[in-house]
Amino acid sequence: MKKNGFYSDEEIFDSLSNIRLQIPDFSDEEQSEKEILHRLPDLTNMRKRTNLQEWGKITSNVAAVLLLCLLAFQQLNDSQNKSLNNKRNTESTSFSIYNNKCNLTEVEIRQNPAKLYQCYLDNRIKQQTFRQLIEKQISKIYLKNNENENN
Amino acid sequence: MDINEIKNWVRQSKNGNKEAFSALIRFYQPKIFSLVFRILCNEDEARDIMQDTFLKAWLQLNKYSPEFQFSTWLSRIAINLSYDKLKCFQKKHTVKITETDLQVLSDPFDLEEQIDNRQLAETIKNFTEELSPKQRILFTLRYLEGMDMDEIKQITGLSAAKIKSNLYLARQTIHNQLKQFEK
Repeated sequence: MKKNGFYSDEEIFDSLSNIRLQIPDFSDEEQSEKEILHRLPDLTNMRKRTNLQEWGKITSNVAAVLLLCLLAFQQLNDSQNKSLNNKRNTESTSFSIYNNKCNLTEVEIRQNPAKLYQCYLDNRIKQQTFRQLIEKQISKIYLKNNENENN
Repeated sequence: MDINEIKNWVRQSKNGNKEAFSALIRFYQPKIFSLVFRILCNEDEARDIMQDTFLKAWLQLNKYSPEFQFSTWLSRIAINLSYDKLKCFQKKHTVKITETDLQVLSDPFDLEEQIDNRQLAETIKNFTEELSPKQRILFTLRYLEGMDMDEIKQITGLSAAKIKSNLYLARQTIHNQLKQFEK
């Protein structure tokens, strides 16, 4: 009767044939049908609404992506321009800001524009420090000269 | 029932025709009720789930692919809803197979001696209560609804191996219950 100590698929299938033949009594079919129909929403209006919502979602997503692209492009452009200006500035002054050079290849910049921006920020901070230092030096020299003249 | 007529009702229902859908409800609700009743073993819950099944089917009719039978698609929705319901059920006490349950199995079946819903629910419950929700659904589809492997695969979306292993575990559980009864 039992295979490996358990009922086999066929055995239990046969054993439960009586339960299978017992069909649950389903009364009030009409009432149940009415209840379901009463709960059904109007499909055409609902589909129109859903379509509208879908289109709204798609449009807003596309707009968001475009805006992001625009922002990224602008940032990249700005940082490139500024780093070029910085380079010119560093060349015109005789100070060596050797460490400020952005050792990035074009491929790296394309892959990660944020690196270029980071470099630009670093340069800017360093340059501000340099400028402040120079201004201090110049003012010191100017003060000394004035003192000498007065003496 | 002519299969083309059912296809026609489905097509019309997809266009929002409630009368056609009403015909589908009339035709399929006893089958869906029976399936859900055997899984949940509760008449009121089975009615609710059956109604939700038709409501969901109405809302998702445009997703129905005619490559499947409409009854299979409908059963799939009913099974998913029943599965969610089963997961919410909290087992309150351990149930055991009784002598009455075994009598239902062993007595020769007499069409005129149909047992009432409460007794039927009780008997099925005593056999399936100890099974996990997944095992319970597979057990019902295979042994109480008499479906073959292909139908079960289509309805549940499970692989043949998973179905077999779950059914094996279900049979093992029932075997252990019967052993306890013999003691």
